[in-house]
Amino acid sequence: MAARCVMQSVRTALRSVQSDFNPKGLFQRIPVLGSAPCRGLRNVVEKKEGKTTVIEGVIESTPERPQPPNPTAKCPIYRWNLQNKYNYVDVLLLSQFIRSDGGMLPRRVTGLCAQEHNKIAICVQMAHRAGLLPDHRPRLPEGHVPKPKPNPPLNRYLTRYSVKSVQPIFRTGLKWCKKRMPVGHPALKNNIRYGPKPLYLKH
Amino acid sequence: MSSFSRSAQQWATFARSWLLIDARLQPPGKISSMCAVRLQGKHKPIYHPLSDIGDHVVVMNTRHIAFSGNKWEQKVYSSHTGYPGGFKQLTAAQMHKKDSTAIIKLAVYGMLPRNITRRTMMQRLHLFPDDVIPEDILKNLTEELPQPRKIPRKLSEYTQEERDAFPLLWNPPEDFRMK
Amino acid sequence: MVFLTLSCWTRCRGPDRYWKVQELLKNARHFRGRKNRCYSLAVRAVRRAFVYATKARKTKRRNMRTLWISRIAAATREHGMKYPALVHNLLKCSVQLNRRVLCDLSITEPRSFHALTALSRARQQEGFRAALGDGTEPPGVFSRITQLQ
Repeated sequence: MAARCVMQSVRTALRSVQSDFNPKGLFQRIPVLGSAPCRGLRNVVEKKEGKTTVIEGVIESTPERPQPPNPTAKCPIYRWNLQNKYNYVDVLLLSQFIRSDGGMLPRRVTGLCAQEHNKIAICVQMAHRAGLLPDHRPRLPEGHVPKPKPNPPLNRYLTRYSVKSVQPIFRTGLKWCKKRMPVGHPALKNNIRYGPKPLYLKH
Repeated sequence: MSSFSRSAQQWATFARSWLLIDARLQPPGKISSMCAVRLQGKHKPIYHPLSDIGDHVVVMNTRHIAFSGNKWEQKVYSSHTGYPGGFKQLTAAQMHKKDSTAIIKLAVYGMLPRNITRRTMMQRLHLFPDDVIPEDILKNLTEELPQPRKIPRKLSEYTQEERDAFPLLWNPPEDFRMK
Repeated sequence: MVFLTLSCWTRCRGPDRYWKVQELLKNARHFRGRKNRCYSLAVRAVRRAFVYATKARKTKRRNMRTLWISRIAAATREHGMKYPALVHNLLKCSVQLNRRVLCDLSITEPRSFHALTALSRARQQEGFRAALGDGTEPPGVFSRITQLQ
């Protein structure tokens, strides 16, 4: 009888949070690394009213945060008027849009528009290559100890292509038609710059 | 008003100072252009190309320089030994592995004027791969120059207060399970 | 007849060719090698040297100007400005010092040069002050604006 009551109460609790019936996955909220660890956490609350026991997963209320200046927009970047204002160094912003293993969260969850999603993906990639997100790495299998590398990794920034995909430019070509080395990404060239210095994407 | 006679009246006008540059996470080209100006003495108002008034420049942490873009793989340093088949081409990563001061040294050498004083100026450039500097150089140092590039902070270097102060740009749907 | 030198005053002056050669060799005496004593080599070298000298009278001015500019640039960077900004803003303030004087000031009178940089800095940031400031004058700068005619 008690078990049935519990099941019923769980069902009501589930209805209240409007999720599928999946009691295993419900209470196993893993706290996430990064800047937003306190989101989506639930407390297990047990209430006893006579014979009925209600176990409820109550969502922790997040503390008061500043409100966006443009709340009607759908894309979070437009909601905060941040379009063309972020770059690969803004890791606090970028870390809100990535999983704990460093990949991008899907667009249907974050609500980013396609262009901003693309730009953020580019920035996240550059931040990874610059080593600015050291904790967001794919989890290694259990008991695996990585080999110590013979050389320390080379410092780099504004890296557009992956390290293994590029080839050395052995023949740079003539003076008026040189093969240039791309730096940064053209998707970010509309970013706001303070100062008269032009942006060079080809070095 | 002759500038030559009166400038020599100042005490220690032509004294050499020793400058320190920390090259950690800095682009080598910018470090080298700073070095080249100081080695020629072009940062002093009494500059003249024939009067040898350059300063000593000490660059430390040259092992930890940072290239932008994919230059570690794409940039190529070419040299010729003079013998047949002696054309050597090394990428920047290979060059750096071989000698961790070579990239800055070559860059500074290319930025100095091509005359007979170039080798003399290069002798006043002291490069150190790490922050270990010998005692006799360390006691000469007078000034540390500011770094040209602002080093971006890693996510792990932000304190918890700064992370909490940053606004949450979006809130996940309530049934979303964050990985 | 004018006896400017002893050789002109003597009675017998010898053949004209000798004096012509000596006149020319006089300009070549400091040259290296046989150019300073053989006429046929010296005449070429002297002609070339005179061409160089003529050209150098122009390039000297140019070289001196670049030297002044590099010195002023060095002195300006000590005060945290750049050379083009300094010169442009001094021009806007109608400060009519040329580069030679500016260079001399930067070497022998660093304080007055510092005052000049402060003046041009104030002129440079005048637009910012008008837009963002509270209408006060920048401290330590007395006269800024003069109308250019």
